[in-house]
This record gives sequence, structure tokens and C-alpha cells, in this order.
Amino acid sequence: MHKYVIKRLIMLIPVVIGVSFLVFFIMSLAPGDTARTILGEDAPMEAIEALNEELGLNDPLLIRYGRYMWDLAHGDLGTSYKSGRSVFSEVMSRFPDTLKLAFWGMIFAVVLSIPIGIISATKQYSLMDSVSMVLALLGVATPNFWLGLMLIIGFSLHLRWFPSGGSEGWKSLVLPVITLGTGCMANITRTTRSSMLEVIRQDYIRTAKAKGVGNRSVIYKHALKNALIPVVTVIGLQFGSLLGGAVLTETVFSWPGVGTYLVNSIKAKDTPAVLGCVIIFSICFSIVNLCVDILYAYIDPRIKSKYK
Amino acid sequence: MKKVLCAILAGTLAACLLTGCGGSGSGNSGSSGGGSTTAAAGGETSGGGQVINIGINTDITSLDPHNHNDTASAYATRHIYSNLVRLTDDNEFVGDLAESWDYIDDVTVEFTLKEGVKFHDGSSLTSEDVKFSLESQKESPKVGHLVSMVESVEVVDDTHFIIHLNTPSNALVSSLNHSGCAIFSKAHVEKLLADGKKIEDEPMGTGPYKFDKWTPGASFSLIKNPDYFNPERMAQNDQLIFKVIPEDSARTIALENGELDLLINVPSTDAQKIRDNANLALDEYVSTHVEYFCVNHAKAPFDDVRVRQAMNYAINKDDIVIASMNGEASTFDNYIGAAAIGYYDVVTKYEYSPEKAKELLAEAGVADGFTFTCYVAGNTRATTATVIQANLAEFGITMNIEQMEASTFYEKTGNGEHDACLAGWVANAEPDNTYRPLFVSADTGAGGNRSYYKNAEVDKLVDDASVNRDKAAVQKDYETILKILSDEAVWTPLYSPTGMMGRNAKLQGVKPSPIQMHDFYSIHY
Repeated sequence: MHKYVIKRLIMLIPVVIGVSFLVFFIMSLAPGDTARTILGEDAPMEAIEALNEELGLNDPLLIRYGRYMWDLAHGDLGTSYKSGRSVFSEVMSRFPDTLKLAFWGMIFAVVLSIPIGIISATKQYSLMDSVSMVLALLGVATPNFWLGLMLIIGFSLHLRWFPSGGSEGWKSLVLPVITLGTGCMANITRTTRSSMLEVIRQDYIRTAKAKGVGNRSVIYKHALKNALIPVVTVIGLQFGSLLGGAVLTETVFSWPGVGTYLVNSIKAKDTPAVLGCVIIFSICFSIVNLCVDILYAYIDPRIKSKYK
Repeated sequence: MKKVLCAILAGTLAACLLTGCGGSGSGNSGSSGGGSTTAAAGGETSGGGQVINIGINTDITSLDPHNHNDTASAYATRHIYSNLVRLTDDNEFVGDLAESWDYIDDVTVEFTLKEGVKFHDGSSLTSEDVKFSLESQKESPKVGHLVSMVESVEVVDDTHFIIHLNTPSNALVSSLNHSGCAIFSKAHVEKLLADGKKIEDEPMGTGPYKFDKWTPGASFSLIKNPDYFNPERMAQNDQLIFKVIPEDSARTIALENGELDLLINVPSTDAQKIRDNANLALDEYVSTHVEYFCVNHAKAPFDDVRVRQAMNYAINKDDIVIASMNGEASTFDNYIGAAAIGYYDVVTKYEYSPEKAKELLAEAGVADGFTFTCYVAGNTRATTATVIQANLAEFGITMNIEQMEASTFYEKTGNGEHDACLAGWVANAEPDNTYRPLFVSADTGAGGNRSYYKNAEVDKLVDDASVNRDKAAVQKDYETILKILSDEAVWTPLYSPTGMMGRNAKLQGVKPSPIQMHDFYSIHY
């Protein structure tokens, strides 16, 4: 098991190289002058040339990439073109807020979706099942951006229960968490339902029932643990996408996270900042996936036995 | 009844959400009703001082005046630092830190500093601080160009210094008003640098506010400097908190529900909503912002003045103001914003006249129309382009619209790939910063002159206006330039957006600046 974890951690190196290579070249292919974007339309040419020179943007692409990778190998994510500050410190100053939002969004989604998924599966084709599946479909289809604005209008503007934005206090967390967690919740609900449906038709469930085990016990002790394997995968993937995909939610709720920083950096053609965000997101995504794989071993002893 | 309906709506929404639904809701926000507010508003604080919450759409990039050239950062640094010169509401330059200045000759200016000015740490301002600030500014790639005309700064004594210019320049005084020309404490900056810190780690100046804190992406706050040197501009509130709210609707809602006291740059779509709300007020002001339709003079048929004049007659600006700006703008005929220094109402006005447009097109030999492509960036300009497209279609002219990302737009139009484009300009306090990049031959393309207009007479007049110290002669230069530009129909000026600030109706002392350099010291309840 340890070997497997170490192997997976080593695999992060090609991931980071691949991601940085792709992003660096895509950013360089995108048209537009970085210095012009930073200084604005009305900046004189001499200022633009001076800034390009200072940022080293007049050097050939490969030299710039080589320089970046050399710094990266030394643990330096570079300096933001726009602010002149360390990208690592800029991303890290925002990362806790993004993590907080993703974590509570996930808690919100999991706490609601698993029970709903179980009920839907155990009461298949009932009214409850149909309603929750239609609503789950709507949850997946509803754009975050729109949902966020509706929540602000309802709960902030009219009822004044929660602030419309910011990140101060638990109240400011409620609406973004619901906005972010809703799509994710709908996905997990659907996965839980289909997985449970598959499991409760298995022979061992029938056997348990035949032996006279109570219905509740069959569902929660025997079926759920087995049905959770695909659900855990979905949760892991969803958590990764919550981390990286909170951009719209962060924008609507003025949440000072990495997503907003990433979008602003893309707009400013701030390559080191974009690369820093993407590399950190990639590492997080890989680590979450690794955690999910490790978690499998505890949920399903068959998987653990393979690594012994 | 309204509250009950809202509660039902909220309950339904919550129920939907709890079962995995996105729910549905009304898009109508209307005016804010009663109920308890969720945020400290109305200018009150737990400590009893007056706190003003101001909504802005973008975060600051740096607290070092030499390391930024953007409006949001200037909201912070203009209040923390002071400049030698400031611009009054009447567009006059007066001394801020400077008591006075005198031109000894065209390239030598002697300044006298006000006495008794203290930095936030209690140390006194001296000429050495000015010399240090301006000389280090010259090294800045972001704002160094503002003082490119400064050869050196000679310290005479603690309150007198001489600026030697490398070339005569009228832009010196207006540049010294720019937030990039803020005056630092030499001792403070040297200590910071010696400690391995940056200026923005501990910003400290002589301004009416002291830096309090900055939460990147969320907010920054400034607190009153009770020892500010100018009693007339002493802060009338105790703290300013700037909240960064990128999304337009969310920003307006924050004003409606009392989380904000003041909202800068009200979206045109929300202006009427604020007017209709009895708890709020909308302050409108004339800005220096001009939006224009720009054809490429280097390409046929736009090299023909008659075709350009025909464009001016053919485009219905009233329609554009309604379609693009919801009516929150004024149609415009000039080439520099009406509130800008260097604006003179001397241009030829082309009223909407399809008949005249037809005549001119026939004279130019394109009576049957032609086809060209217009580059645009941004949704508002895309809407404008659609109206122009419809207007020109009446004359058989086919205008294809190509919408692109701003950086692509600047690159392509900078390279002269466009037939036409839609652009805008916000003039600052120095007219040369508008006339030179937009109309001088040397600045065609990426320099700012995207119409590729070349006229040796205009070049000469712009040069003269930038160095001639006779104000009457400078005015004559600019008037002549404007007449030439309008006679030659260099652009089709379209409209000037109305500057708008939304505020709590009880908030007083809001002083909008046409060039977006708003002062917030005077606002209070």
C-alpha cells in the first residue's frame, strides 16, 4: 500500500510538467500583449515596451518556459506579472477560502444527497423517487450563476437573512455553499440511487432478507457499504471540480478565492499566476483522487488485499 | 403581503434545494423592503465611528503607487499618499503638498513645499522625500513614463527644490497630480527595503487616510488620519471600506440591502432601479468617457473623407444610446470628453441624415454600398455594432461584425488588420494624453491611433500644445485640431456614458470626478 501511495505521488511530477507545458503554450498562443493588458489601452508605447522588457517577455518562448521550469524545480511558482508579488503567496492567501467553500459545499451535498438517493432507490417508482429524480435533473441543469443570483434576491435582498457577498462569518457562507453544492448534490443523489438499485438486487441482499434481517439493517449495514464505492468516486471527482469550478460562484458572491484570482489572471494574460493556480489545482485534484483510491481499500477489503 | 410571498418563495426555493433542485425564482428584485439587515450599514460601527462601505468592481493590484496604473488601486493610494499637485473640481491644478511653483525657464521649475506636513509616522516632509520619490518613479515601468520629461530634481533646502526638465513640457504639472507621482517618505521606504520588504507591505504617506488592511479579492480599508495637514480636506468619516464585488447585479443588490453605502460605476441596467428606490439616490455626472466608431483610414473606401462623413450622417446615435446604454448616456459629436481639460465645443456636428449620407456615398462612387468588417470587444460594443450594422444596411453597406477578446482586439487593431472597430477613451487630466495617442501619426496602431489617421498639421499642433506655456495659444491649438478632426470626420463619435454613483439617500458629500479619480474624504452621514 505504501509503495502504491509513493508511486502515485511520484506520478505527480509528469502531471505537473504536462499541465505546465500545456498551459504555458496555450497562454503564449493566445493573442494580446501582456503589458498592454496590464497597463491599459491608454498606456504609451514606451511604458509598454519597458514593462515587457522588465517581465522578460521579449525573450523567446522556450527560454521563458525553461526559466519557469527551472524556478519551479526550485519550488518557486514565479512572480505575478500584474501585481509583482509571489504567485505562491497570492494563491495560498486565497486557497483557504476556496477550500472552505468546496468543503462545506461537499458536506452540504453529501449530507442531503445520500439519504435522498437511498430513499429513491428503496422506494423505486414511488412519487418520492420521481420527484427527487426530476429535481436532481433540475439541480444538474441549473446554472450556478443563475441560482446564486436567485438566492441573493430571495434571501439577501428581500428576506435579508444572509449577506449578498463577502466571506465574513458563517452567514456569508450559506448562500455560496448552497449554490456550489446543488449541482454536486444532484450528481451524488443520482449515483447513490443507481448504485443502491444495483446492490439491493444482489443475491447476498436477498439472502440477508431471507434470513430475516430487518429491512433497515439490510439497507444500512449490507447494501449501503457496497453501494458507496461508485459514490465515493463521484464525491472525489466532484470535490476536485468544486475546488476548480467555483469560479462562477466566487464571482457572484464576491468570494475571495482562487477561482476569481484565476479568471482575473487569465484576463490579464498573467501567465505565472495562471500556471500557479492550475498547477496547484492539478496537485489537489491528484491528491483527492489518491485519497479516494486509498479510501476504497477501507470500504472494500478486496481492493486492500491486492496491495498486501 | 409582499413579505409573506417572499417567505413562501424562499421556503419553496429552500425545499427545492433540499431535494436537489435548482428551483425557480423571480428575477425581479424591486426595491428593498423592511426587515433586519444582515450587515453593518448606514455608516455605523461598533466603535461608534462612521464607516463608509463602498462597492467597487475590481480589486486593487498594488498598494505601491509606482507598481500600478489602475483606478481601483488609485482609490487606495490617492487617499494614503499625497501629491505635489491636485486637480480641483473646476479642472484647475492647485498645490497639494506644494505651496507654489514657478517656471524659471522652459525647462526649470522651482517648487516650494508647504510647511508642517507630516507623514503618518509623524516625520516631516522634506524636499529630499520629493527627490527620492520622483527619481525612483522614473525607474518604474508602470508609471515612469509620467515623469519622463524630468531630468533631475535639485534639492535647495527642506522646503524648496528645482525640477530640471529634459524638454519643455506642459504635462509636468498634470503628471504630478497622477496617483503614480505620490510622495513617499524616503526614510520609511529605505528602511522597508533594507528589511527586505516592499513599499506595499507598509504603505505610508501624508494622505487623509492611513492604510488599515487589505484582504485580496475581498476588500481593503483605510482609516482616518487625524493629523492630516489640510483641514479643508480632512476626512469627514472615520473609515472607508472598499468591498470588491465583481458581479454587476450583486453589487447593486448589496447597495439595496444596505451592505454598501456607496456604489461606484452603477451599471446602466440598474440605474432606474436605484432612482425608483426611496432609500437610495443616484448621482449623475458628466464623464470624460467617449465611445466612437473608428474606420481605418489606410483602407478604401475609408480613405475618402466623403465616405467617413457619410458614416457620420448614416449612424443613428439616439438608437445606440437606447440599445447599448439603456438611455444612460448622451449622444456625442466631439473627440474628447465634455468634462475633460482640452475640450472645446467647436466641432462640426453631423446630425442623423440618411439623405445627406446617400448623397455623399454617391459622390464617393459607392452608391451601391460595399462590404467591410468591424472588430469589437465586449458586449456593450457588440450591441452598438448591431445598431450600426442595421443603420448601414439601409445604404446597401454590409458590415460584418467580428467580436473578440479584448487582448485580441488590441493586437489586431494595433496591427491595422481592421476595416473598422468600436473603441472608447477616457481622458485624464492631461489633454496631451488624449490628443497625442489618438490622433498623432507616430502613434498609429498599438500607440492608440486605431483610425490610422495621419495629418502633419495635427501632429504639429499637438506638439505645440504640449510645450507652449501660453494658455491662449494652447487653447487655439486644440480648437484647431478639433475642427480639423470633425471636418475630416476622423471618427464617428457616438456617445458619452453618464457617470453614475448610487448611494444611500442619507449619505452626503459625494464628489464624483469626471476622470474617475474620486475623493472620498468628504462623504459622511
